[in-house]
Amino acid sequence: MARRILVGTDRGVFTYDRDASGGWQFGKHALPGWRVDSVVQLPGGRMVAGAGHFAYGTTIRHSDDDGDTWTQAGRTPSFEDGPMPVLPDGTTRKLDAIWTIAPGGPANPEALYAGTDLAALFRSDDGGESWDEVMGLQHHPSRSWWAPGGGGMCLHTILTHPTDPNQLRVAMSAVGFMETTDGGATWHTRHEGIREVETGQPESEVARCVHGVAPHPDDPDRLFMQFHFGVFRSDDGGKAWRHIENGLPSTFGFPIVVTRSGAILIIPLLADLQRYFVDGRLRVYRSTDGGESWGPVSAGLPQAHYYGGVLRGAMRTDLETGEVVFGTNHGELFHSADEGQTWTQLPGRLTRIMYVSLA
Amino acid sequence: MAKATLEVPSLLREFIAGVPGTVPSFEAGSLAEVMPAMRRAFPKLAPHVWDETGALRQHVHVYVGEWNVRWADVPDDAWHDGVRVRVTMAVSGG
Repeated sequence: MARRILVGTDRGVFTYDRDASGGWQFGKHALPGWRVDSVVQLPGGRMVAGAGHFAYGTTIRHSDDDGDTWTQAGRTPSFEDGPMPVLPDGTTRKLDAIWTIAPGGPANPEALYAGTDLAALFRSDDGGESWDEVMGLQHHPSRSWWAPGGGGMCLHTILTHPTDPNQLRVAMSAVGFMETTDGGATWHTRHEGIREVETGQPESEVARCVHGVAPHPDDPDRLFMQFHFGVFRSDDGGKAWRHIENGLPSTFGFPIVVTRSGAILIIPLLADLQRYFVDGRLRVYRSTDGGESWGPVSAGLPQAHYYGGVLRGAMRTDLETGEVVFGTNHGELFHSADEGQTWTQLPGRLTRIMYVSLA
Repeated sequence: MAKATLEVPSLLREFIAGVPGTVPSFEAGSLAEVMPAMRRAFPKLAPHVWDETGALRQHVHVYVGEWNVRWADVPDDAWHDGVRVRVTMAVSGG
């Protein structure tokens, strides 16, 4: 059972801790002054965060005392110190943010992955102290056609396989969804059924602006995707996708999660150039039939004159308890104890929430 | 070889922390060696001051004494024992 909620914001990390009655209490504010694009707590207790600053750049920090003190990784993700500091066209690769941090899961318990902007995948096998880039991804034949989306060119989603340590799937904006089955040496795009977005690049194999991907907890090959234009389902590990949008007020949004019983949750925004809740109402859309139909959930959520949004890393579910948590770009944190059917706002109003995780 | 003290904004102090009660310092043989010597002496500070091309980050300035190394034609005698090197964030950076 999750005992802590970690929240990455543009003004540091905030934590919430479960109290004796099962409720959530505000914990602490850590890394003040830093923009925290990603933060997780590992099973052993170590917190790992991607902390950046628009003047001072981005590094990974870790804390072994519940966030009271932080240490910068000895070998933080870096293009400059890696094997490919410069792209073949002569462009220097610059690291702008650590978009996500993902533990390796039961098949790879010692591994920790980080996804970055510029789009790249890094791996640590020592709890986040030293990081090396998974270079196979950069050698994909489509690499020279990768282009950024509105949020930059970021690798924002990392899906590990529950039993196969060599399988990994990642999503990048506005590149697409890719899979490796050989531990990262070679990668393949998984886009059948999803049309490309306009990136100005001639290569059509990529240019897929994937916003988020979540697997079904009982079947890692049943995947659900929030795309830039559409919501999709795949039953074969991403080889083929089909639209699942019946009942949605908009097909644009960012986060997507699948709860322990298979309920799919998304939060539609009006449109790509109008990134706020439809009709000024914060509604979670929920599907309990695998995406065949969707219905709105508004219980406990603001329903008038609310023009905020939820960013792609800012919603997470606990597969043991069925709890779901999301944070808005206005700084509110909402919690559901019933797989997203009803919601309660947690104490405090933070600041722009980029990332939420449960530990 | 001359020895300089180093001051950085509060947000970056953890990256130059050394022995408690001592002022962080580093040595360089000449003005031209100041930046490389700083990077070597404070490797955890480096990604916050210089970008991947080796240039100072856009909103970061480094002063040797009163001379801003980004803009000024710093005279050689600005580098001497006891000189104060300061890292600052430009107003343009916030």
